[in-house]
Amino acid sequence: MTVTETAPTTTDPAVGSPPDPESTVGGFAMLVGSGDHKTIGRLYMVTALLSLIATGVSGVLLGAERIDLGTSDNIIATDTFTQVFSLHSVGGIFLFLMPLAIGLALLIVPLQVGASTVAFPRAAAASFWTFLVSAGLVEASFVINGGPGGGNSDGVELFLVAMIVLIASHLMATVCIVTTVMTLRAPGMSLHRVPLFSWSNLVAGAMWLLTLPVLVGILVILFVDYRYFRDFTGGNTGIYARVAWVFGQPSIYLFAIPVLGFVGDVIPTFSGIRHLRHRVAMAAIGGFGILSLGAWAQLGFTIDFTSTPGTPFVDEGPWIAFGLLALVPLLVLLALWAGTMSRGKVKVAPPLTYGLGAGVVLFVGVAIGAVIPVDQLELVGTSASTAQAHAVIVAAVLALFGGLTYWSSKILGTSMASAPSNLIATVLTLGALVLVVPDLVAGALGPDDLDVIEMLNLVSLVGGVLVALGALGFATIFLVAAADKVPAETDPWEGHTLEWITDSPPTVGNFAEVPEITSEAPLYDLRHLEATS
Amino acid sequence: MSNLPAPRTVEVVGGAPAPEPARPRVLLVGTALASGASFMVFAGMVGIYLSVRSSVIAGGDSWLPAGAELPLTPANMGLFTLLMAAVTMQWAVDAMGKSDRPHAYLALGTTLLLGVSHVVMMAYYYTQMNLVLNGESSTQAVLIYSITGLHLAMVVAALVFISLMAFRALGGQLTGRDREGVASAAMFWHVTIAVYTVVWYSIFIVK
Repeated sequence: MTVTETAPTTTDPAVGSPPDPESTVGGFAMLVGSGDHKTIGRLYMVTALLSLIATGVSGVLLGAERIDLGTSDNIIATDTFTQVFSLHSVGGIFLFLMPLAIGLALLIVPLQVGASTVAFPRAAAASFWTFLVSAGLVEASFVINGGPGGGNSDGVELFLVAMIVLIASHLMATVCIVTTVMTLRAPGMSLHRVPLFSWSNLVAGAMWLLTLPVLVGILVILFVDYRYFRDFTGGNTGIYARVAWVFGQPSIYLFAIPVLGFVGDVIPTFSGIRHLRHRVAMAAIGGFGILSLGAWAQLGFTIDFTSTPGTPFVDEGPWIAFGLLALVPLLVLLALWAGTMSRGKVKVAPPLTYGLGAGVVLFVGVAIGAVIPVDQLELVGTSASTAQAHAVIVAAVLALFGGLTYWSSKILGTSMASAPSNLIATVLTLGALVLVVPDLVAGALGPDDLDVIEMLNLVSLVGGVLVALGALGFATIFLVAAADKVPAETDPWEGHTLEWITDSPPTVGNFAEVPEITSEAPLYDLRHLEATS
Repeated sequence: MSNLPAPRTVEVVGGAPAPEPARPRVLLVGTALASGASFMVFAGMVGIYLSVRSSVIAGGDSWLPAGAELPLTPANMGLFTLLMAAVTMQWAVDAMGKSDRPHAYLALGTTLLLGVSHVVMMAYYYTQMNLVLNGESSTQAVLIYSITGLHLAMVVAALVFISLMAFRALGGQLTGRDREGVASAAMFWHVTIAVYTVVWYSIFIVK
């Protein structure tokens, strides 16, 4: 008899079978009770995009505040500055960027590795609902004059507890994603044949699981301290300083690891050939991940903490080495991507535009990170660090928006408009550069150049506004595509990886059957098999 | 629709079925990841504890203020209780692997009993330490209560995990061929004990 060689790995009886319309629960009950990784992923994405509003508004306010450095209280009152600043950074990373990355990974990674579901689907669902509640509590803590630096003790305590729960929910989702890549791969897909996006999520997840628990431990100590004595927290002034290491070098790179995987997936697809030296690319992504481990680069906990302490780690060898070495894997990847594009036949399309923009902006961010430790430039603690963080985060945003565009047929079942997407990717890339470069230059200037710094801050604000407009434009065309009734093709881009043989959007169980996997690009293999035969 | 050719199929000689794919050990891998993350929580907290302690000692003061105590006997008893529970937990895994259900149930029950005993012992320990959160020893109290309290939460989580797997074993869901659930609970339990060993040495022995 003839059998398909590559049966799905999981024993889920729903594999390959269409959903029973009689048993399908619709509406809110379907959302709340769903353990389908695609539904959970979509919920994560929508919530993350909504969270972008608070992050974007606070960012523009902070940018406007810096235009006139001579006076305080321009737009933001002095006593609320820390709250607005922390809302921008905490919200940007934990309420927007991570949930968006997790949502995209929950939806796409099982499809890429040929699994019928995500590992621990109920845990994945629980992680989303926990995230939703805790994210609401984090936002609420700011509303009631809490958050780090807040004047309302209950609000500060609420912030600390909600952040612990929020990060725990992210870690729970991360365990689901990493376990999926490690255990639910289709037969034939050894670890070195995993698509780069899934690989980057495996690396990012592993690094998050090693780093973010340290932040949880710190938040527990801060909560107990704030509630009972306020020694380490210095009243409410020391809380943000204790968690700010997550937003600095090298930990900030944690959130950019999936960028590398996304770019690594789209460049071969739109070049029409395999990724040049796939295993080297995997090693480079792994190396970048290892160099993003940075829980050690934080402020020491000191007794009688009354003011923001210095940064004792900046003169240490590891901090300098991590900053410089992070450039190496990125340069390797850039060389591989350039080689892949030069050997292939490049088709310009929105995902590629996003991917190239993300690659350029990330390179700028990592390059800034490499020069910050240079002692003679005196960039530590200046706006150069802000420039680096902004570059890395906007690179991640570009990649995630590109991912949503690339996989919109799997996410929404429809395609996103090409021309506006290309424009938005370009605006975001240019906005990121205009946002970042003036901050880097301002960081190198001294206090005698206040006028020049103010002018640079104005230019940087223009860049920030461009990024905000780009994000707004993206949200608009995303909503338009969601409302579109024209179904997308199964494989609109001639992709190389398994998600492109599933329906758009994928049905329950994802795959009717999985083709034989003999390389990291099984669908590319199939096309060439057909061409040669 | 996709423009891909149909998936390649393989003619199997003699009608033999294709080999079964290796069963993925999903729960074991997931538990290993969660255990690693839990360990990192304590790695960070103990690191902060040792850092603060060394800075106090470097300033010429003693770490524990006058009146505060960290008696060794209850801490040692807590450790030995957990070490015994590690043995009984491994006994449960072994018995489950041999489909020896009576001994598996006995081992799981003993593990749960020892785990609860540890929680009771630590609660008693808190009454002996004389560390107050809003007094002279507050810095030490904040750190010690945070670390040991969170570890107690980890012990309780591990006990819930073991209980769930014990109920699944009682319900016949776990067998000698499929003992992944008990093995996963055992892994998390062992990591919990490893964390206590670090806490025991860093806080109760080093003082």
